[in-house]
Amino acid sequence: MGGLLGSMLALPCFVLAGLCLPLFPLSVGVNRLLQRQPTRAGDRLAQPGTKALVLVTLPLVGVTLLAAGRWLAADDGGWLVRGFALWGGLTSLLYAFRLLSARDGQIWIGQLYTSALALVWVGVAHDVPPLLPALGLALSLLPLWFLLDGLTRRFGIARTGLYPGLALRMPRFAALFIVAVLVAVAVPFSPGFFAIADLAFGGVGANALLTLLPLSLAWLLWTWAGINLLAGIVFGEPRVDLDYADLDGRAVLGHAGGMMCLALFGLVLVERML
Amino acid sequence: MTTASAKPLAEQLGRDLTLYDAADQLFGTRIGETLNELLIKGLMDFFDEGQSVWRMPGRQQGLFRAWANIARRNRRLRMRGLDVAAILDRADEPEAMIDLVMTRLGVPEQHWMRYVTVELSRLHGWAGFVRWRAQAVHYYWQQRNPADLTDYLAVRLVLALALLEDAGRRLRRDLRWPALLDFAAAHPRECLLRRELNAGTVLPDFAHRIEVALDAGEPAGLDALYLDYEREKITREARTRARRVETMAAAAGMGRDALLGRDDETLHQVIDGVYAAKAHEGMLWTRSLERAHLRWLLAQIDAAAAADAPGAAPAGPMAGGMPQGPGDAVQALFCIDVRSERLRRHLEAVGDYETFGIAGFFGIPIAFVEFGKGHETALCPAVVTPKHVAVEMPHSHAKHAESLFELAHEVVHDLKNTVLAPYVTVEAVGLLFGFDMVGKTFAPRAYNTWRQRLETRKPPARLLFDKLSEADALELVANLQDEMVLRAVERHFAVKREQLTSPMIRELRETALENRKGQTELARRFGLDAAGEAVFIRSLQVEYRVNPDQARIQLEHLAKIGFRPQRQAQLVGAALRGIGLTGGFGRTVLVVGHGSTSENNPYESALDCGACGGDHGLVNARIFAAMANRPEVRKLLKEQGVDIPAATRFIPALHDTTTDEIRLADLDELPPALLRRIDRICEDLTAAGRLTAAERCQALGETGISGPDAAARRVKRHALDWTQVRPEWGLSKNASFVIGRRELTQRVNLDGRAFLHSYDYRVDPKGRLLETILTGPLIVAQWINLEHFFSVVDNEAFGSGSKVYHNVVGRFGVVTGNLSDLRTGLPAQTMLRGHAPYHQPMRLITVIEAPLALVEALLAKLYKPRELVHNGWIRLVVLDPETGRAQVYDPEHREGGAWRPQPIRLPAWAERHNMQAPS
Amino acid sequence: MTKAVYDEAAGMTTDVHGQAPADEAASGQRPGDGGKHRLALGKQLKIRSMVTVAGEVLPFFWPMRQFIHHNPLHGLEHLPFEDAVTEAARLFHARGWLPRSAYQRMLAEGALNRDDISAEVDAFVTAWLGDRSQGDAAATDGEVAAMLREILLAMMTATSQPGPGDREPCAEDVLACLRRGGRG
Repeated sequence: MGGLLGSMLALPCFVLAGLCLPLFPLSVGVNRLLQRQPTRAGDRLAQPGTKALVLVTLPLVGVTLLAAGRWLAADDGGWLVRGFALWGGLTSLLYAFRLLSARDGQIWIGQLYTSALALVWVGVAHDVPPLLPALGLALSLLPLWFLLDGLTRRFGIARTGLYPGLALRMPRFAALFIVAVLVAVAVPFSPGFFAIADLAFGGVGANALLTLLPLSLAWLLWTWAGINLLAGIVFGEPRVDLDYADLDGRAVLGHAGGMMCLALFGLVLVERML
Repeated sequence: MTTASAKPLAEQLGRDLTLYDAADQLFGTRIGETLNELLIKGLMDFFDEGQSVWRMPGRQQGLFRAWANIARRNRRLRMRGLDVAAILDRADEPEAMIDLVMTRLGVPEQHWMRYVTVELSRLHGWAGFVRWRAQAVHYYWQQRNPADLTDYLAVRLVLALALLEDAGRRLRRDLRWPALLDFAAAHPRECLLRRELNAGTVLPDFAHRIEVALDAGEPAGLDALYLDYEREKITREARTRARRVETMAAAAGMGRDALLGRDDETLHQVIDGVYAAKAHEGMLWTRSLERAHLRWLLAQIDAAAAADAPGAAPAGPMAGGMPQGPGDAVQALFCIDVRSERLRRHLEAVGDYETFGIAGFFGIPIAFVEFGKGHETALCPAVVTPKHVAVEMPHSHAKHAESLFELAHEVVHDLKNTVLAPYVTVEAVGLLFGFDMVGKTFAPRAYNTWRQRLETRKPPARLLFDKLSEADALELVANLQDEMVLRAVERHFAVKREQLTSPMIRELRETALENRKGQTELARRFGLDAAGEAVFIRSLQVEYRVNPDQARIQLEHLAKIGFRPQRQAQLVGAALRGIGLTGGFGRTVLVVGHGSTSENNPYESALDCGACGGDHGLVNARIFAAMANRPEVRKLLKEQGVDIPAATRFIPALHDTTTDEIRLADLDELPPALLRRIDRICEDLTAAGRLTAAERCQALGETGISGPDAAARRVKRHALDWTQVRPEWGLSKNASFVIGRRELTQRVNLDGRAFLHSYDYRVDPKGRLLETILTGPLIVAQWINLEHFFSVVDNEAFGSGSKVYHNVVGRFGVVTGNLSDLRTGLPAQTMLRGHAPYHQPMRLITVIEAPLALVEALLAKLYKPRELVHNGWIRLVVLDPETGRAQVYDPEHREGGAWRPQPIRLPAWAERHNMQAPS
Repeated sequence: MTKAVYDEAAGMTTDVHGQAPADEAASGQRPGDGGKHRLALGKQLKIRSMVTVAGEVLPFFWPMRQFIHHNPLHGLEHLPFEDAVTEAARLFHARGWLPRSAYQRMLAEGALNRDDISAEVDAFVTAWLGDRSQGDAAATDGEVAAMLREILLAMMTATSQPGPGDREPCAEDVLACLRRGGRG
């Protein structure tokens, strides 16, 4: 399709996609969902597994809606897509800033998720196929998600500053945690990194300032936030009045295995890039 | 950060917490950290002693004014929102500033002193340094850049006020003393919850709820939450304690049922008892440690004495079967340092050596001016102030030619300090540094030997310690002034020495000294008018310091040099009597000072001789030996009752405690007949040194040591290896201080853990020599012992942490990282082996071999030793030879008499030749 | 100059929530020129001496070129050893003794003796029970004493040391938890 009608039909598609590849203020819903505490026993929506599923499936839904919208808009939707790209870039930066002061683990992941997936819009403006980057960014968050869940189970809440010094008391956990945080903030060789690279350079508008600026700024702020998270949890003097229970061998294998798979997926992304 | 405890804020404010600590705990600000950072930056700039290339200007005005001048213009402070300039404009003097800030903060005056104590204890390293500098009036840097605690406190308070006001503005709260107390009084529960949250002791599962409740700010909710929280916390703690009591009972063999089978009253008492004991646990452990060591020590002394009983083979110089004459043994005087113990033991085993322990400065406190250095170093314990000066003069006065190597070295190192040079020179010059680095790391011994060949040696020098007669002093000053006049004339008029006559120079000197008036021959000869001449004379007086005041000062300084013969005899006599060596001198007496060698070690001075003020003891040894070799001194000593035969020669030496090498000094002054004997002594010393090195390698945990040779090579490498964080253990593991004859401990292997001071009570009926020991060496040893004690129990707070993270600041201290409190105490590598403590923390077990009555009389007379003994800072044991009992003083259980006797055998008393008590 | 003398010299009141002195003349200030805060000489000296006395508890720090081994608690040598260590631990936020594990390691290595520890524990128990029961000799030999001795010895030599909690539950609470068997 095309023309003005096409664009008008594309708009609600894009807005719906904006719920899944979050754009502020539509992102509030996703964040609420991700931070939901169990209200009663058996509240399945608040289980970590469910939320992980949400983390992975929402981008897929969003990408589908996005594709639908683009097909509806065809070539005339250029201005629409660029508008959304701008919106996406701004959302990403906003949430990246908010990330710097987030201390609660679930809030942190939620905001990082928002910031990351909003960047997909920026790539879309330059015809980068959004599926693999979106998937890459979302999957990168999973290892951290499960480790934060581990913290919640041990201490009741995943939060920086409450129980520093994990590196001394729970060395295995701390090592995996560090890797997971680095993967989540898209440090080179994580799928998230390749995703961002793809978004930046994969399309026809590669090297344009409007593409690179939000991507690099957001990325910079993520690493800063990642270090904040690490500093408050892994480093520091351990508390003497808490019980620290390290991961056992099986759990270590589980987490490490998951990260291996993620690494392989990252390679796939690279393949696609090249 | 201070942790919140259940004590209310009102009690802790001003006693444990400063205002900004309270604000940090209540409102989550980080004022304390920021304050420390800003303050430390300022302190590092001010106290720099030549390390930085860009120096802080205006430091001679004092710490407060210099800092204020810079802080007023510091834009970065303003960007942080701190209006420091406004505060600084209100007062000029530090005292006025302190008064201003304290009143503005609303601190009531009766709390000021305690508040100030808390403030000063925050950065106790820096504050301790300022405090020391304030009373070190002769310290060069203090004279140039004065600073004292009042300045320091004023700077700290200004920053605190600025930060508090800024935080108050941002939080829109009043953060002054009355306001905080009112807040604590009005909302006690909210206060407590806030403190729990911000001090890092909150229960993690409550954290979110507390935050939410605090944001909402609703009082009823907060009260309810507080009660919940307190109940939960106390319950958890009670549960933990109950579990632990069960564990303890199980470990004692009491099962759970047996435990719970008791009645409530019993269990109640048991629980109370357990938690009361926990408060004293540390002391119980320490006392147990002391008990064990004390018992071992006394048993060893007892066993050694039994082996020494008549009928058994005698030890000491009489050993070896052949009866030796009194002149064949070599006596050696060592420092009381624990490291000398090993060497003494091995030396006595290797040959006929009689060793004595004496404080490392040999009783001669001097201020030493080394050749080429412009300042005095005090070579004596820190408790003593030296009144005499000794100077080092080279044998020849040849101009010290700069070698090309040294020049190049200086240039290359200076390049490091300029800002832009590294970008340019790294390609060209970097290779030189790389060469150095590779050599030093991989082959330290070989590289060091090679480097020594390139570097110019210090010219051989002689020590001047005799008093200058007035005529000599005047001549010296006159010569100096003449030299100055010559230089001035050459510079101002380009007139060389050949064109001047001595009377002309003298005339100019006298004119400058205002001893004569009128036209000088110089003016007449070279046609100077009166004005030009006056200008020249003025310049002589001001620039070249040829003026009466300066002359007087120079004469005063020269008057301090040296000792008169009577004083020399007095010092040598006191030292020899103090160790009980008043007769039976052999033909050689070694006087062995000690020092250490290490590379890249800011703590190098900690390994040197503490009795010499942290320097090596060779200078004192040389002076002592030279004095004791003087015939006029020996004549005076004979009158005192110390008869040194003419054939006896005192030879100074230096024991390098890192490599266990002993180097004899001043050999060029020996008569040639002695040189053969010296060779043999040197061989013996080398052998003893190697054996000591082998023993020490074991303690250092070195592997692959096949014998003493290999050990000696290994420790030599330690001394030269710049990557070695532990060149030697130093004084770690020190445990006791034995004041008595060497025979007490001669057969005992004390494992390098004892300070040994020789003492013979029979030559000291009035106890004066023991008094000197108790007020001097004992205090030094006690300081060493407690320094080690506290550095090992908490290496991060009292010690200085790991050396690996240290950075030298200002050339006088180290900090961890690039900004931290000045680290005091000893580093982790000296106290710990990995994570486990190597030094065993216990108080110094002081053993005195003297009658109990004498010791008690001295303690009653001397304030400081009494305080130390009664308050339990040292553990005193008196071996009473007259009653054959060892009296152990127990400071913690003084009721019913603090002295606890137990029988002990002491070695037989050998007859000393020439045993006369001094008149 | 001790704190008492200083207080007396300053003529202090004992008002805990004292307000800042409002009267300039009374607090020894001079009216400043150009709005600067200036103090009379007497007040200056008072502040100086207050700072000096307050700083006496700090150990000196000599420049490291001449390292002097020095007792960090030198300013507290007028107190008995244990009290001084407690006070220093409070003032400098430090630990005054090694952790129990270090002593237990020394015990394993032979530097410490069980008998010595036992003797010390006995002495402590005797003293403590004696204080509690006001000199009633029977208590110190009774069953409580014996049990306490064994338990304390076991605590020191065979159990690990927990971190210090910041709440002090009374013995009743602990006893209740004990009886409940950790199920409450």
